[in-house]
Amino acid sequence: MDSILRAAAIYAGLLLIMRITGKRSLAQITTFDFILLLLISEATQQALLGEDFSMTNAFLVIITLVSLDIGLSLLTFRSSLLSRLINGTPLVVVENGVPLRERMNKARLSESDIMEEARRTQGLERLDQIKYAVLEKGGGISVIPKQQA
Amino acid sequence: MAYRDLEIDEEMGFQRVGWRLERVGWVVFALIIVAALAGLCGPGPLSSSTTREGSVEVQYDRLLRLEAQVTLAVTGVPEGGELHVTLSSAYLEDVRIEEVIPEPASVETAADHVVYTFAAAADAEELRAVFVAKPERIGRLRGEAGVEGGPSVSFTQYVFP
Repeated sequence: MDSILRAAAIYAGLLLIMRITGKRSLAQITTFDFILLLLISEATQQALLGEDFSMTNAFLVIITLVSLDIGLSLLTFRSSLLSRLINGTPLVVVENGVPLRERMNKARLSESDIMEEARRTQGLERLDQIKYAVLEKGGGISVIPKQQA
Repeated sequence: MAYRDLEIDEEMGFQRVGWRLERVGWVVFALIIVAALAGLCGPGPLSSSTTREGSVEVQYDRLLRLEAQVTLAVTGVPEGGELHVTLSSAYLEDVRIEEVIPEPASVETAADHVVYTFAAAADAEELRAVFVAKPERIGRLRGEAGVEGGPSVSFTQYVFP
């Protein structure tokens, strides 16, 4: 019983913390983001397992976490409000080559972040070649280039 | 905002509320860090407490964490080369004593408390016994520590999950 409650509490706590932290922080953009992710999992591990290192406990915890995730995905699939609450919404940050500054500031996104993605995924050179750039729910940036005339 | 050829479920109203809540969350994070540094989330400056009752002094933490080691120190005046420190049995059911420093010469169980007998040097004016304990239950713990036949101190501790 204890391990199920622990897993549920940690799942809920991490969900809340990650939502507050913002989508970009742990999207593994820099090497340090990746290290931070490892550190967080390390810090969680003890509280998740307690002093019980049995296989029964490990599987109970895993099954609980996975079940919560399935449950949450079912709920967010049915309710768009819940989906927006938990996963957030995508955000357009560049429109027809014009950066939407206010949105970028709020989302802590710089022009160079967008250009990096534009170079990497589309091979673009300048901001004005971008038709749309969208900050997706997961923290990634999608770049849609203007059609070449 | 509507985009001519971009099919997207963007929702600015929701996004703005989200940003505001995000910033409220950051402030809450900062407050939690400050509170933890001050000792409001477990042992720390604001949590530690010392209570004196006659010749007995008990030093303890008011806020503990489940399964995290803490110390409880009882200082008393030895008589005839011995100090008999008592701890209430109810308290000992809620915490696990990992270590007692110095090593007690004997441990005896009485009706509602346990007596730890420490040997003291003949000229010792005070003896300080330290109990290293791990709380095993979440919530409010009540304990009583003192010297047998002498004064005792009642204390309350709160254990965080």
